[in-house]
Amino acid sequence: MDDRVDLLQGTLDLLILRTLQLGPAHGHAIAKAIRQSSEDVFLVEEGSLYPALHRLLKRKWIAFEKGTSENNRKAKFYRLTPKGRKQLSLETSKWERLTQAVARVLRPV
Amino acid sequence: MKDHPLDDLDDDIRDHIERETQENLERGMPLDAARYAALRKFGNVTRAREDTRAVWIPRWFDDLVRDLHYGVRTLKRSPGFAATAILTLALGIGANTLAFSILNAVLVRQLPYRDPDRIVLVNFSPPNAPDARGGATLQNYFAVRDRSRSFEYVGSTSPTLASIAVAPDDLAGAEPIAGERIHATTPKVLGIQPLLGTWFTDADDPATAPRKIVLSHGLWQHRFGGDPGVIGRSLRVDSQETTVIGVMPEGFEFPGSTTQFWTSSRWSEATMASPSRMLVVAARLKPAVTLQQAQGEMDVLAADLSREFPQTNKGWRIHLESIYDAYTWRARGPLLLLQGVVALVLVIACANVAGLLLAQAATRQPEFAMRLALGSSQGRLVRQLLAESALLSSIGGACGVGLAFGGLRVFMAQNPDAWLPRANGIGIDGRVLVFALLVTAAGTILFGLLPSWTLSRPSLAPGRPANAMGRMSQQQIRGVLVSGQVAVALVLLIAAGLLVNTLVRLNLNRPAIDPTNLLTFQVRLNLSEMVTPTGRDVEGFFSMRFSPRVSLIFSEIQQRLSGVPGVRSVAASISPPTGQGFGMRLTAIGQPPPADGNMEPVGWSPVSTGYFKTLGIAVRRGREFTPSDSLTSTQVAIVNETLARRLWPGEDPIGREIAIDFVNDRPRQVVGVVADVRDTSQQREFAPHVFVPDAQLPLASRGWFQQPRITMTYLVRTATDPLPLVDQMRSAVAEVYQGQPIYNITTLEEAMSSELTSWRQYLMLLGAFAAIAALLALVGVYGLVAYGVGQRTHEIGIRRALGAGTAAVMSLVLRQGLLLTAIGVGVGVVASLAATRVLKGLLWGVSPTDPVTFTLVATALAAAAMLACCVPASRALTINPIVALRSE
Repeated sequence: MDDRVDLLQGTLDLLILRTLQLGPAHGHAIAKAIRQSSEDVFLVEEGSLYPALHRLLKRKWIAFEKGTSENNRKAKFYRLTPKGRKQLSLETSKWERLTQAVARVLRPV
Repeated sequence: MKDHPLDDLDDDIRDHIERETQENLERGMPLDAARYAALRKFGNVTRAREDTRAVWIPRWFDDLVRDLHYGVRTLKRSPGFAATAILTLALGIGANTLAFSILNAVLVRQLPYRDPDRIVLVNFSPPNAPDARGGATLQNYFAVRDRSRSFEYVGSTSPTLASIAVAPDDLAGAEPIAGERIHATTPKVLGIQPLLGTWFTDADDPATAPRKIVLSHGLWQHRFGGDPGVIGRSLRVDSQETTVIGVMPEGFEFPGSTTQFWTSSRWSEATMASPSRMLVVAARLKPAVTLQQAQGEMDVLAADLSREFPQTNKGWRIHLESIYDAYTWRARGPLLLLQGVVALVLVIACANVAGLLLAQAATRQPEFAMRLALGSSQGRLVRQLLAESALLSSIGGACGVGLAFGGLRVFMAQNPDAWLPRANGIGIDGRVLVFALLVTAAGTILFGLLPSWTLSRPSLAPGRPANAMGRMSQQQIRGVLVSGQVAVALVLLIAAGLLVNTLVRLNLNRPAIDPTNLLTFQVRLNLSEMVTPTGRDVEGFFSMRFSPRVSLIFSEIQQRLSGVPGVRSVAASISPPTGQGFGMRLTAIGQPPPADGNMEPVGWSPVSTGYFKTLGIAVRRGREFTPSDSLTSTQVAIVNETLARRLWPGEDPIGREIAIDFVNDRPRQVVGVVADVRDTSQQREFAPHVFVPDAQLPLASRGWFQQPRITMTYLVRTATDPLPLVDQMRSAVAEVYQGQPIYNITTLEEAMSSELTSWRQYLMLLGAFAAIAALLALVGVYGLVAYGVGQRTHEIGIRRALGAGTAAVMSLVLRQGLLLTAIGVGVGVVASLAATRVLKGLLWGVSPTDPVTFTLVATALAAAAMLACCVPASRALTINPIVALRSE
């Protein structure tokens, strides 16, 4: 049985922000980073990365620049904005509170 | 400019997939598998793209673009349908835009004054016509100005003519132009500052002040090339040195668009006593005062004036009118009617397009059934159809605005200022464009919703030919539309017919001066040479004396003109024969005074010898004026039939005596009665009129009459076209008098036609719209029958094959069209009976339910509709049974 899980709405946004905290990246790199760091747990069509990226762009949490990647290919490089950085810490603490709460409920002491 | 994130979205996605493919290749996959895996990992590309776009662009907008795109393709597939629909809509929207651009300029556009809704005109109405818009005497004006407490400012103005020359030998400035003598407070009433220089001040009002003039923007542009240095320059206004003190801004007009300059009023005590009501009085209401409150005050004032000045004001009322109403009352009815007519034209056009869409719908029914079956929502289909409708009407609307633009150029070339106030502002401005947009949107909903509604609920069996019930009900809807179109078109045609009938009656039923080969022009003598001020007369007012040379010069000119080869006869009049003349109070000596003790003024014209002969006005009794009627002989007068009937009903007027209330005029003996002729005023009944010999005008006079007295209108009847003789006439006049050249040269044909011209112009516009409506309705009838024939080709083929004759086939295809036409005509006649009542004020000599007009127009439309049915029906006869049967 497939043990991957569907992403909650908004979680992908958080993962993207988290990924970009490490530095600017283009779309494919972001997708790959999420995949690798979550050890392929999340069931995500990579295509849904793009609406999420654009949602973040629209909220000005991330920005993009056109640049050239390692093998001389043109690509959009996305990076975190200061606003996005603030949002990330907010979301992270919210997420932690949520997971702790869920954990407490599921595994009572 | 920053790039939008959506730019290169497709490249981004492709890049993403290529990178993944590349990595897969590096992991050792074969190319096909590598690409496939990358694509699988990415998921649905289209959805990713759409979802991403949806972040930035609302989905409905994307849908709309797609619908429009689809719509364009649909229209391209049936260009005939598209062209017909677009042309129909262009006519409907164009007519509405054209009518509104006129309505906008005349009724909607703000008047060129500050807070125009605070400005009122102070009308004086005689006892027998309480709603008439009469002018004020100078005394009346001062009474309103000094005694009222409702007004912030009160001003007045009176029309004048003057020649404005730069130098004594400036020929361009010899012809008098229209201007106004304006009291200095009037600009404060209007609240408008000059573009350059200043307005008048109170110090400029008296006759002793230096002469000053303010130019209109138009005059400044045309005569002075817009030179700002004109301020302070000295011009010769009627040969008097006058200083230019200001130029008004563009678009400023007061009281009318023909006014080209303003001079100070220069009133004197002499003019104070004048009974002449030449003044238009305007006033600005104080901020807190309503029109009703001010009217209450004026009612009291009018009663006071009636007591204090019984000679001029007995029984006269004052009624206030907002300046907007004063300017627009005459045009409002006709223009609103026009707008109503074009609204109906649009309804017909929309019905036509709806019919076309319904017809087209039949062919698309399988497509829509399929889309519904595949899960498209009904709302989605309605939206698709509305988008197509919107596409049609936008193109139609754009073409319509173009048509309106062209139509306006034609309309403006007819010189509509003659009958439309504020006509110079007619054009397509932002407001008109917004209106066109609204009309287009309204049209879209009108014609688009109905087909969308029927089409989006087709039978759900795809592949099943959409026949029987589905199409029948659509044919029925089309039938209702066509009947409705015929009915509406009939209402419009009957309305136009009644108005044309009125025009014909105005033209034919009232005898007029025969205008063929009749030239008219004016000669004006120099005031300062012809008038001597004579101080004060017995009542203490300033007076003047005209030189006897005035009459001599005028009659000498008449004689010279008679000598010009080709001239049959010459006459002259102090008031042009096409006008109403001057209003004078008149009493019949020896007759009991009228019951209300107040005789209304009658038309009064001083004319030369040979006047009636030259104009072809029949002398019913007595004689014309002759050269022996002079100042020293018996004072005589000629009355028209209406006046004779009014003063001496059933009796012989010859030899009776009348007294005309004109300064120093002596009792006159009636020596002739002439036929009634119409003038060009808006008045449609004959007015009483009295004529006196110009040679018998008293030389001693008072203020107001001086300008008319020295301006003579000559009427020259020639054997052939008079225009080639103008030069000879000009030199004939110059032989007698060199002071001023002749001016206002025109044929009487032209001068007389102004009332009828305005009617004709209005009717042409209205008739054109009614004709468009009728044409569209006929196209509707034609389309319905043609479509029916097309759909029944198969059936007709079978019937023919089974031996059906011509009559049977014709009746089969004609039945529906004729039935619907009959219903439409019936409904139209009933609707017209109710609707034509709104025309009442515009009709003359014809009742709003005139049976002749109704019958003629209804028959004509029914006949035309029948013809429209027969054309496609005859095609049914040519159907070859073999071909028809194979067609399915």
